Amino acid sequence: MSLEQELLNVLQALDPQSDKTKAEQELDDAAIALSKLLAYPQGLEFVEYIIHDLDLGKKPIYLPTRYLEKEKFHTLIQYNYENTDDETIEVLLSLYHQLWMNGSDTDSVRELLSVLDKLQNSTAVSRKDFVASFSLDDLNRLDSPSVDNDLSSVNVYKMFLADGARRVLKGNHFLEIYVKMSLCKSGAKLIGWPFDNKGHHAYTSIQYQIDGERIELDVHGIAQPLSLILCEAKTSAKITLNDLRRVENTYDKLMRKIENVSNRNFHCQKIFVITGEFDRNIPKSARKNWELIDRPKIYCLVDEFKQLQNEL
Amino acid sequence: MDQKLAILTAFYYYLSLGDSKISAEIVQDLRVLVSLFVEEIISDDEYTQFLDSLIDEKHLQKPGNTWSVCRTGEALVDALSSRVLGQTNLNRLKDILQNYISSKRDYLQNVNRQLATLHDRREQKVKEAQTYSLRAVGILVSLDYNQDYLIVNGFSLLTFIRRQEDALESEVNFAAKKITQRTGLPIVITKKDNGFEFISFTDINSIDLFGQKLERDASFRIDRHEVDNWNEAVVLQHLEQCLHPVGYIRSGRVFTNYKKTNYVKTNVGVMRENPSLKVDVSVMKNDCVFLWLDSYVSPRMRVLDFLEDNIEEVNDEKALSLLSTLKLRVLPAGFEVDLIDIQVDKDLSKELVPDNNLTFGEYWEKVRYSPLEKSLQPLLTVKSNVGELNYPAEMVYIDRFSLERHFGGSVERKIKASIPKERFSTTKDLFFSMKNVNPPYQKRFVKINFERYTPSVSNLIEFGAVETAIRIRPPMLEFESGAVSSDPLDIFSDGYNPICGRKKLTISYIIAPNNLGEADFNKFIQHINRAFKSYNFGEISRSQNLSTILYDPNADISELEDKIRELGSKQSENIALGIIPNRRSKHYFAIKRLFPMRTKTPIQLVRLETYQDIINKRFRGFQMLCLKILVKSLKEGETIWRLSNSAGLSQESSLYIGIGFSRFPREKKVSKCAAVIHDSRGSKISWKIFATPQERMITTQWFKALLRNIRDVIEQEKPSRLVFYRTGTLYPRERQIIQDVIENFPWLSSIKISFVSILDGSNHRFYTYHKGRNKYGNIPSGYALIKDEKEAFLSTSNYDDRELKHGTVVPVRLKLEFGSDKITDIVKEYHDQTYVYWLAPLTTTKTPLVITVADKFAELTREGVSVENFFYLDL
Repeated sequence: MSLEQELLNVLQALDPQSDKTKAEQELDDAAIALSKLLAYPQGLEFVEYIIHDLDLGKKPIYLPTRYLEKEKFHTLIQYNYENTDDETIEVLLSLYHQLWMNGSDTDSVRELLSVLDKLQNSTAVSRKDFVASFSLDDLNRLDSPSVDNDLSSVNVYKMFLADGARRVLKGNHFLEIYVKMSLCKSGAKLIGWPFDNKGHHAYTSIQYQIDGERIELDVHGIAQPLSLILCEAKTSAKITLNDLRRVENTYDKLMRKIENVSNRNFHCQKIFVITGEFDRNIPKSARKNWELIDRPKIYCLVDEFKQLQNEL
Repeated sequence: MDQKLAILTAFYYYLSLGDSKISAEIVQDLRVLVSLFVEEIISDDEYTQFLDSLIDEKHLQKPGNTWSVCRTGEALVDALSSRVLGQTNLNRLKDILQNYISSKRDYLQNVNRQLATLHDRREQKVKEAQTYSLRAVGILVSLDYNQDYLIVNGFSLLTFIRRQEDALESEVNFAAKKITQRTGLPIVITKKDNGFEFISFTDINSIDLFGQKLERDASFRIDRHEVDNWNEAVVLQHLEQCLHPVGYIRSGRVFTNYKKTNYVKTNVGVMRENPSLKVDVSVMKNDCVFLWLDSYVSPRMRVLDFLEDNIEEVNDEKALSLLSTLKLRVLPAGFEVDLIDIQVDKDLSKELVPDNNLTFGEYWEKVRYSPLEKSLQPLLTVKSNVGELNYPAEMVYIDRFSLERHFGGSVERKIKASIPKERFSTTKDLFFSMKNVNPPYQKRFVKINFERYTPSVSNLIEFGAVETAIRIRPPMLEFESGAVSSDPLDIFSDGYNPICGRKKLTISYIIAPNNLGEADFNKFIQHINRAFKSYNFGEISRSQNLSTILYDPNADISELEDKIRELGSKQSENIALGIIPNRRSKHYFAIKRLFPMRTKTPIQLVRLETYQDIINKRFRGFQMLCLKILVKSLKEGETIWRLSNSAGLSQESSLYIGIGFSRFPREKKVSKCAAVIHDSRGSKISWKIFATPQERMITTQWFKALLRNIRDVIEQEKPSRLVFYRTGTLYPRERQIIQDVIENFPWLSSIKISFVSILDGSNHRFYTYHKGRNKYGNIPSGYALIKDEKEAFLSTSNYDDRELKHGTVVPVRLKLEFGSDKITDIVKEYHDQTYVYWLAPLTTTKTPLVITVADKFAELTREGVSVENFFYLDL
């Protein structure tokens, strides 16, 4: 029996359990498509925007057919504010808010448009409706949509998220799914356990029983040379030393159990992925056992994981 | 202003600057604050309607008892508030909210007080002035014509004469003058296709041009009312004839009395002063004319005196050598001439005038009405634009600037200002001396009556010289934390601190003459700091690494320049002090030219005398000195005080552009500059430097460059109106250029544009006379006389109650060159802007801040100070 199998056996002996709802989301195409947005610059920001400003996707997402300079957008808004009905100005303002109201610069907005483009072609979107078209020459609203590549106008569409996408946002599960996909893509072997009769496996939020106490692992897997990768994923603005210690204790308990059961000392790589930032006051000594991945590195998580495995 | 957007913006910024929630109470307070911002009381009903509308449009929401701004509301504010309200206005709204957040109740009470009086203040901003106690310095004349027609005498020019374009005009004028001297009748000259028309009471059969006799080729009668300025020509001619017997000689509109001579001691020797009169004419209805009189004296150095003072034994060679370096002018006209030759000790009682049977003595007495003082004196041969002429040395004087250059310093003479009572007496004396003269020349055509002297403004209104007289109330000024006062001097009082906040300045350089002891520099800084602190302006301390630059005041200026060139820049909160021998010394411009650019540090220069007064605790001018330092430390967008409401309480959103101009004729240096005030409260000023040496006129290229450069500011501030101020007359060519350029800039099409010329009103003086108390006084600041729909006179910068000995106030003459504004509105906003010049808290200023800044920078660029030096307000 290989050491890897031996490790899996020990874990299996710890009565792995999964959350059925979360496990089903892992298999939902819409949820996966939405989670994949995190792999693009501005993807995480946009997902957060949907959560906070679009009421978890209850409100529509607006999509323009071209990039508009901020000043040009202001002119378009001003003209329509002074000359058109409330509905038209609402469309423009909603789109403007979505593109420009997060302190975005020109590059960020271009990246955001790229995210919207990925989204519209994905299964995360259930419906895409034409809303309005605006002439860039005279700034008037046009009666019907123009050809999308017409340079003298801009069409605005609204998209609605599929139920699966909205559920994964509501359950705040998108980061775990993204981390799972990234870890898998980086070449590590994910550890998952069947959760239904059809043989589907769950890979996120797995609970193990250790001495009567249940601990949960967000995502874990095996990398070569043989290492157990334990990954915590949190959509928190800030992680403090206490948060880090709490997770570390959980992981240490698991590793001691594995050591006790197998009489072997397996190498373990602890990873903490967050959408915010780590407290600057976390001392170096506390950081040394960890690979801490924060907001700026989220979109290139696969590369981070690959780099990590190269260094094992 | 878009009040709904202003309300939404206030909600948005209140949430981002202060509390995270807006309660019902705050909503009501915001109504008051927005009312202050838009300068209009928004009633409860209106406010509720605006809020309902904002909720309907999904810009605001009210879940439960708290209010918040929706996503679309946030987007609307982000996208449009600066565009629609203007950047500086938006900043003001933020300031208002910030002041409210810091001291809610106190600030709100203050705002409420201001708002309560706003309506009344607007209603009472302008009141009709009591015209019977306002007097104009001048004489009212009526004309009673015996002949209602005039003769038009046409002269076609021969081809060879037409070719002499340059000299033609002066030759034609000279020909007319000769006829007038002979007949005593006025002539008005008009141009026609191939020649000129001489219009007068009588036939003129021939004229002499370039030594050729030219016969009249057409003549016809014309109604005198059809000839522009005819009454003016008649009166000026009559004036010349009336004033001759009392010793005045006319040169254009200036009359100088050569019979009365005073001698004044100056640093360049004894000079002569003759009383002079500058006359301006206002034509009124019913053939009445008002003669504005400005009496003054101007010291002159005659060649005769100059040679006697400066050469021990005058001979031809020495005299020619000394005078050849100087610019000379001849009396009485004052035009410039070139010296060709000089013969000393000529007996002018015997010497004959060329081509004449008269001696020079006889000629000057009988023809020029100015008898010579000395028979034996040098005779100068000079070249003028009418050829070579001979002048006695006492009738030639040295141009003032040329004289100053010769002596290496300015002519310093005690200023002699005439108070209103003196002007009244002068005018009265002239009136009676002229009334008694009865020159025969025009008698058969017109009877000229001197009706009244120093008439009341109600008389002028009655005869149509002015339309009305108004009094403008002073504006309210805003200081730190919304403190309001109407007196700029309050900047030195507790509770009225500068809006820019307290400054912490470090003296990093001191430039001083090398004979000063460095030990005193500490005392110097300490005294200034003590005063600076006492006015709540902040602190001034000596830098740890203070650099002192000592120079020899008598050495060549290049020594000081070289020392400055070696300096490097220090930190940003630094300021430098410089001590110079006097304000006009060469050190002043040398330091201004080099120091700020090299060190990136503003510098305050003080005169040596001031420095000594400071260290000896004798100095009384700390208020101004500290203000000057504070102004120099201002960063862009900072202000010391501003208008509490928009200038003139106008409801327009205006942006003001001042076009400054500076000329230094003695060195033929000219420059012009422009400055911009971003809003109508003086909250933000910026400047663009376009120095155009040797060019006074506004050219197409210059004006286009100005508009291109201020386009960003205009787009940022979104004014509904642009007002250009410019000192001096706007020539027709310039007006055409400006209008053409504006038409070619479509982005200006939606903005109202006005162009206002600020003219010298020195010969349009007024004063007050209270008969009951027999008291003469100056017109208080804010009095304006509306001449017509385009022109007005405004009294600024005067506080008689502060007992400043300023003579008789010179009103500013404002001319609306183009624009659809009412002249009263132009005068109101101009008046208010004179309160925003921080360096004149005692008297306010004559010109608005934009003009003061532009003029100052024009002066510096004229002297070769690089634009890189203008990173701070060097006023």
